Amino acid sequence: MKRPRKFTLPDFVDDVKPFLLDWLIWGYLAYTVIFLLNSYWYTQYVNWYGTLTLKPWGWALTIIGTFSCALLSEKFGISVGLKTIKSVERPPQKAWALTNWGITTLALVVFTFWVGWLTTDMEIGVIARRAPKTFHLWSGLSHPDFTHLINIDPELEDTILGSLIDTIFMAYLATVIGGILAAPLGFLGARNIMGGTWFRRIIFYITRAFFNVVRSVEALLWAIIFAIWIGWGPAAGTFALLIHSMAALAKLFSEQVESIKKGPIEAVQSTGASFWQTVRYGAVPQVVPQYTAFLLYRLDINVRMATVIALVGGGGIGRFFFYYKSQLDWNQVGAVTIIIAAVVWILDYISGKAREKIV
Amino acid sequence: MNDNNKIQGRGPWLFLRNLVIAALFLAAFVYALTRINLDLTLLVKNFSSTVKLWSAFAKPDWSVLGEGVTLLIKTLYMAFMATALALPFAIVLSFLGAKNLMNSPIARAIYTFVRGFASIIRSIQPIIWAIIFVVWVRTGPFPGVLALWIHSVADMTKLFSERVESIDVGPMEAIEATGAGRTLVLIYGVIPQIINPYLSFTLYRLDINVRMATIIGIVGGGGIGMRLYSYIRKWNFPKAVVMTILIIIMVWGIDYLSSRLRERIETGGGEKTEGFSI
Repeated sequence: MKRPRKFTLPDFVDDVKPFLLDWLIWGYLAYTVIFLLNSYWYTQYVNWYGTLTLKPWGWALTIIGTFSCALLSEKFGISVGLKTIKSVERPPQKAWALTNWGITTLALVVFTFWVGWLTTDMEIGVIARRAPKTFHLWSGLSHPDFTHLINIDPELEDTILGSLIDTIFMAYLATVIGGILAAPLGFLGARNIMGGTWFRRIIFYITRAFFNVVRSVEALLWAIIFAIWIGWGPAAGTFALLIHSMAALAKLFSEQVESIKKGPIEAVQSTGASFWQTVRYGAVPQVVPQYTAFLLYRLDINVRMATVIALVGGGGIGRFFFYYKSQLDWNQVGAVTIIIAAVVWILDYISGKAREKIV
Repeated sequence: MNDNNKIQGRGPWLFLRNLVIAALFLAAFVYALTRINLDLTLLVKNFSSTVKLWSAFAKPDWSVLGEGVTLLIKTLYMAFMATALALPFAIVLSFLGAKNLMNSPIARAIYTFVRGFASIIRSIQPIIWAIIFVVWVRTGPFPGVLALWIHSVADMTKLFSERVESIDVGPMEAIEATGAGRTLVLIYGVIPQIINPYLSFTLYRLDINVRMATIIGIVGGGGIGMRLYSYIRKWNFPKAVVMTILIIIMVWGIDYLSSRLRERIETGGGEKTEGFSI
């Protein structure tokens, strides 16, 4: 049987990738050092209002320095890049933290934690100091006011229960439509199916890039776009969840397709089946149960997201939460929070049990 | 096959049951379509309202690039801090929340309490936690980190303790047989079995936290989302587009690195097995 030529990237790309990652890591270490110098020395002793900036020669020095550090790290076996992208054998009887690259990794983590503590303005004392400010919040949560559960709230023209049903149906619609759209995309984004010829390869890259970009933008940001597009309401939220689910499911699905077993495929191929017949009878039966599990998992995520998508005009129960919160009506906020938590919990439980049964 | 016979044995009933389930799902779908009023034609009809947005993609305002990169780094640190601070809490709680390790009545009570609390905290989105923490410690990256932290602790506790529950009892019993106490059993019988899954889950959670950190700013949790949302509210799309592009690059990169590392951890550092290709 004629097999199409397999397309592979040139070999040197594989050697360059670990080096680039190493360079990035060393550049990052240089950044953390300059950051710490700035916060502990420059702003303390030189110029309180200023920021430590590098002179032009400092930049050149940093670039050359990190470049040579990256080169040297491969030589001395402390390359995290090699460990991450290519495999480096660990010396036997040695914990990973004691290997050379392990020490580099630990240094990275420690520096990141240190710089992170300063950049994110961590101030543990504030939690204790401002705890009394949250008193009304906790008292609201412990004395929930369920009046609008079945009575229409005149401001929002809906009941909490009604918007709760909206929320669940939003997630349901988004999952079903997203799942249906994701199935063909998942096949187009599977390396083993689309890896044969140049033409298929190009489709593969476009599909993958498309759903990686769509997936990288959170559903909440999509909701902003759709709220501008078709106006506020549950439909905008559903579209946002739908497009994000579609991309996320397509990615999971294509990975599933990539990991399917050779046997049934070869069996179908040996009967002289065409490309599409091989996909239909060799690949599809192998992925359906797993795909159903992904759908259930996604439904779970979508319900969670649907509870807050109202923040940007996506409709659902979040509308009540954010409205009552803006009114500082903590007792009603407490009621809505309890309902959200209960529903998410129940659906999480059901979806988990159903997934256990399928897989 | 045994399974097959069972299914064939009650063929008509199974078929009927599946039909009913399918009909229910379809009915729910149709009802949902009308209830939510999901109208695809609206996307075409109202396209003009987004022209300003799409045209901004053609000419982004790159003057905010420097500011955006700074915020991006801050966002990454937020996600890192939340994950790193959640890890020790989750590790301790995961042992307390594992059914197979908590046998005595008191231990069972602790187990129920830990798992119950983790479930409740996990059911509330980080965005809602961020609102609570903004009230508590005021706007900025700090409440964002706290919100991601508390959700991560609960989520990681659940994932970790499920992992502990599924460990192989063989090594544990072997070490117990040597007369070792509980601590030694934990160190030599349990930990070697769970360290790789724990690392893998932590990386997965870091990935989720990076995604969440990009939107937690909408409610005042700091990071790039805060600036992005303020640009959108000011209808300043060319600047918002730059922020969006930066978010996409970061999330994509972290997702790639995280999944690459997880794959490496799960396969024990070995090469990925060669799949098939058509």
